[in-house]
Amino acid sequence: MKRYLLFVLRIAVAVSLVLNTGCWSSNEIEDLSVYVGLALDVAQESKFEQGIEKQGASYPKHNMLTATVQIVPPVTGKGQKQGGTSSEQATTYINEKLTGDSLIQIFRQFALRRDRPLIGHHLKVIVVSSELAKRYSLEQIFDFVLRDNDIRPSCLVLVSHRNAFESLSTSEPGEIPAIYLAGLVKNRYRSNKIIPPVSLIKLDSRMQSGSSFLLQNVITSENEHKFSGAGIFKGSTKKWIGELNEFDLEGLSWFSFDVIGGAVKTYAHEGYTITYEPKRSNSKIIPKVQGDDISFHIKVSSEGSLMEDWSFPEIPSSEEYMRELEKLFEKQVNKQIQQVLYKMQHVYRVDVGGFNEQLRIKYPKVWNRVKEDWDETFSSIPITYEVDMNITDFGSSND
Amino acid sequence: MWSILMTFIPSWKLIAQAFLLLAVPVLMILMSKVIRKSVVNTFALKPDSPSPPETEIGLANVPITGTYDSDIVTVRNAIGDQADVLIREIVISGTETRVAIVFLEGLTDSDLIDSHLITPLIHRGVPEEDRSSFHDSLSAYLTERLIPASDIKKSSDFQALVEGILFGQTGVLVEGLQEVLLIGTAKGKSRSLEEPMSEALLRGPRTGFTERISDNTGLLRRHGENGSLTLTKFQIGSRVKKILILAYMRDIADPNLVDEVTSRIQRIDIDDPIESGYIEQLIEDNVLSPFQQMQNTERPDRVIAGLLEGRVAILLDGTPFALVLPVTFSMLLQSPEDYYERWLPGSFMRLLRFLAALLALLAPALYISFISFHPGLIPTKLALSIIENRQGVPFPSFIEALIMEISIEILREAGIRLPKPIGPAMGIVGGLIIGDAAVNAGIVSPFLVIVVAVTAISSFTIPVYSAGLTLRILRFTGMFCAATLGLFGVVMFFLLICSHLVRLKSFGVPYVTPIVPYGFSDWKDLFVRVPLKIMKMRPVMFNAKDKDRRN
Repeated sequence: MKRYLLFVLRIAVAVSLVLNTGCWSSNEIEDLSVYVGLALDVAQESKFEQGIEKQGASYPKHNMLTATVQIVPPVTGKGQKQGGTSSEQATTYINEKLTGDSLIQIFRQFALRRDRPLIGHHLKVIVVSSELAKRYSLEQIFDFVLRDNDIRPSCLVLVSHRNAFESLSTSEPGEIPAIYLAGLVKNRYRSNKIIPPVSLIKLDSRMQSGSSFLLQNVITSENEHKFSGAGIFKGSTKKWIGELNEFDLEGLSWFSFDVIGGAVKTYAHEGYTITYEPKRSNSKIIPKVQGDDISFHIKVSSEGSLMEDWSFPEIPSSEEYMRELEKLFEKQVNKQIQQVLYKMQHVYRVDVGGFNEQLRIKYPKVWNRVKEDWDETFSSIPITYEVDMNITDFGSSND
Repeated sequence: MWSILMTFIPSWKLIAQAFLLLAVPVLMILMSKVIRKSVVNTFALKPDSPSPPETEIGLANVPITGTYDSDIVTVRNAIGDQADVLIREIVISGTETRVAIVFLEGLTDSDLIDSHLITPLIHRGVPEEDRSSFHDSLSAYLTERLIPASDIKKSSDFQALVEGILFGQTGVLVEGLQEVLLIGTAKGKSRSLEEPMSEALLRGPRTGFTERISDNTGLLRRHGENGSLTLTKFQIGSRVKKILILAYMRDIADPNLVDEVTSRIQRIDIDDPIESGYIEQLIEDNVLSPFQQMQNTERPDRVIAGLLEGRVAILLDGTPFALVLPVTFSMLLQSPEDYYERWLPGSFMRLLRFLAALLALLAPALYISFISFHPGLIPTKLALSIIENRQGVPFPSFIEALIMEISIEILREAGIRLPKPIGPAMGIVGGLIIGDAAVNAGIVSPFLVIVVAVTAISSFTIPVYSAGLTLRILRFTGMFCAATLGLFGVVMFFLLICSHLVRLKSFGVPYVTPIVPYGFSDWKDLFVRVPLKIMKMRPVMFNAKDKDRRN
C-alpha cells in the first residue's frame, strides 16, 4: 500500500511540476492591439489631449512630435458583426494620436488609454512628415523604432508632403491605409516613378553609410493618397532638404535603378502623342578619374514597345519609322535625365543617384579622398550621358 | 590578480540555477527508471512467482483400465454433467465388444462421426475371418482397418481423453483396450474471407485474415508456391490453450531475430491470450512508450511483404490480426498501395502521409502557440482575420482547443459504437452542427474549427490505426507543452519525442532506422518509394540472411 502511495506521489509531483509553470508569458492575440501603421508628425495635440490637459492630466514633457498609430481591427461586438450594416463596416481601423517627446514613452502612454497593449510585429508602414524630418534628424526620430525588438526591419518607410497622420486615413470603407500604402510599392513594374522600397533596415544602412538618400513621398488630398516624387535626405544631417517631383524621379530611374515598367510619353513632329513602354533597361554609371578630375558617364539602354501612337493618318510601323521614334524617345529621356541631374547638382547639391557607390567600387582610393565632402564635390562633377532606346515591338497592332 | 579572477566566478544565484538545470534531467532519468521498474516488475515476462493453479480435473495420471464399465463411469463422473457432452454406446458388429463414443455437440462434425465411425463399427463390423485375431491386436486393428479417419491419436490416461473431448475431438472408449482413441473431428464455424475493415485499399488483394488460424496459415501458404515459408507452432495460455504460429522465411529472416522472438513467446505466462494485442503487450520491448513496437495487420499481403523483407510474423488463433515485427516508425506510415501503385504516386502519397502525421501531432499545438504566444509569426492579414474572429471568444486558445479536441475525440469514440443506421446521421449532427453551433455561440473561433477538422482528418490518413491512436494521445501532450511555453514548448516536446524514438528499439532494430542510425540504402524506401527496379536489396536494418531481393 505504501509503495503505491509513493508511486502516485511521484507521478503527482511530476505532473504538478509541469502544470505549475502555468502559461508563461501567454497573451491571446485578440487581447493585443496590432498596429500596422505609424505616422510621425510635428507636435500637434489632439482635441482629446487638449481636453485632458485642461483637467490637469499631464506629465512632464516637451511637445516635440505626435505619433499616430493605426490599430486594426477595432473591437467589435460579436452581434454587431453579424448584423453589421455597411456604416459599421466602414471603420476597419482606429487611429490613435498622442504627443510627447519620447516615442517609447508615448507608446507606453497608450497603456493608460487602451486595455489591449500595442504590439509592433505587424507594423507595415512608417510615415514621417517632411516638416518633422526637416527639424530633427531621421537618426533621432527612428532611434526607438530601430531599437525595438518587435518592429520588423522589413517595415516600409515613407515621407509625407504634409501631415503624416493624414496619410493613415481613408474615406474608402473596408480599406486599411497602412496596408494600402505598403501595397503601392509593389507597383514598380507598372511605373518608374516609384523608387525601390526603403525598409527600416535599408534606411538604417543608408544612414550608417552617411550618403544622401531618397524616401518615397506620399501626398494626401481628401483622404486619398498618391505616391508622388521622393523626399531628399542629406547624408550629413539626415534631415529632409527637399523633394524630387515625379518627372525628376523618372529621369533618376533610368540610371539609378532598373526600369521594369512605366511609360515614356513624347510628341511626334506633328504634335501627336506617342508613348513607349519600357520592358527592361540597363544602365551603367562609369566613373572616370584623370588626376584629380572625376567625371561620370551614364549609359542607358532600354528595350520596350511602342504602345500608343496618335498619329493621324496612321503611319505603318515600318523599320525606319521605329528608328525615328526611338530618336524622339531618346530625346525625351535625355531631357528627364538632364533635369534630375541639374536638380541634384545645382538645386539640392546632393548625390542620391548612386554615383558614390560606383566611384567607391572602381576607385576606392579616390573615394577615400573625396568621401568627406562628397555631396559638395559631386555638385561640380561633369556628367555625360547617352541613351539608347530600342523599340522591339509595337504591341498587337499589325499594320 | 585575485580580484580579476573573482570577476569570472558567477554569483551564487547563477551557480544555483546551473545546478538546478543539471538536476532536472538527472531527476527525470531517475524518475523514469523508478516508474519503469515498478511497471516491469508486475510484467508477465518476468513472473514474480505465479500462484499455483487452483482448479484441476482430478484425473491426472489416472490410467484407463480397459474395463469398460468402470471406465465409462469415470468418464461420466468427469464430464457427464456438461450440457453438451454426448455419449453414444454401441457394439462392434460381429463381436460383442462394447464401444463408447464421447463427443461434444456443436463442436464436432456429426456427419463425420456417423459416416466414418458409427457406420463402419455397426454396419460393417469385423468380418468372419478376422474375428479371432481381432482381440489380440485390438488397437492396431481398429486404427488400421476399421476406422477410416485421418486424424487418430491414442492416449492412455483420462486427463488427455477429457481434454481432447472438450477441445472437439471424439473419444472412442473400447472394451478391453487400455487406450483410448481420439479422433479429430473438430469443426468450428468460421466466417468467409472478407476485406479488412481497418485497412481497406483501392488497389490490392481484397482478402483479410479470419479468426481461424488454419485459414490464416492457408492464406499465407496459398499466396504462392514457396518452400522457405516456415510456420512454427507454439501453444500458449496456461488455462485456455491457444495455437500461436510464428511465420518467417527460413532463408531470409535473421536467425537471431527468430530465436529472440521464440524465447519471448516461450516466456509468455498468461491464462488466456484473447487477442494478438495480448501477445504484443507481453513481448514488447518498452511498456511505457506511447509507440507500438509491432505492426498489426489483417492483410496477408502485408504479412508476406514483411516476411520477404526479413521480418517475422505472429499469428494467433482466434483473431484476424497478425503481428509483424520488428517495426520502425516509417513503416507505420507505409501502405501496401505505395508499392502497388507506380512509384511517383506512391511517393507522393507517402510524403503526404508524413505531412499528415506531423499535422495530426502538432497542428493544435502550433495553433495555441501562435495565438497565445507569437502573434508576430502570423501573416498580417491572417492575424487580422483571426483577431476579428476571436473577438468575443471567452476562453484562452488552449481551453478553446481543448474543448474542441475533446469533443471531436468523443465524437470519434462514439462513432465506433453508433448503430449502423443512425451512424452517418449522428456524425453529421455531431460534426457539422456542434462545430457550427459552437462558432455561432462564440465558444470557439471558426479558425480553430478548421484546425481541429484538419487534424482529425489527418490522423485518419495513417494506414495503421493504432499508430494514429499514438499520435492522438501525443497531440494532447503537445497542446499542454504549447500552452505552457509556446513555440519553445512545442519544440521541446518534439525533441522529447525524437529523443525517445531514437532510444526505442523494436526487437533490436532502432525505431527510427534508417534515419538514426543512418543507413543510406534504406532511404530508398523511406520518404520516397523509389522504382522497384532500383530496390534490388532487402532492407539492411533487418539483417536478412539473403540480402538480394531478386532471389
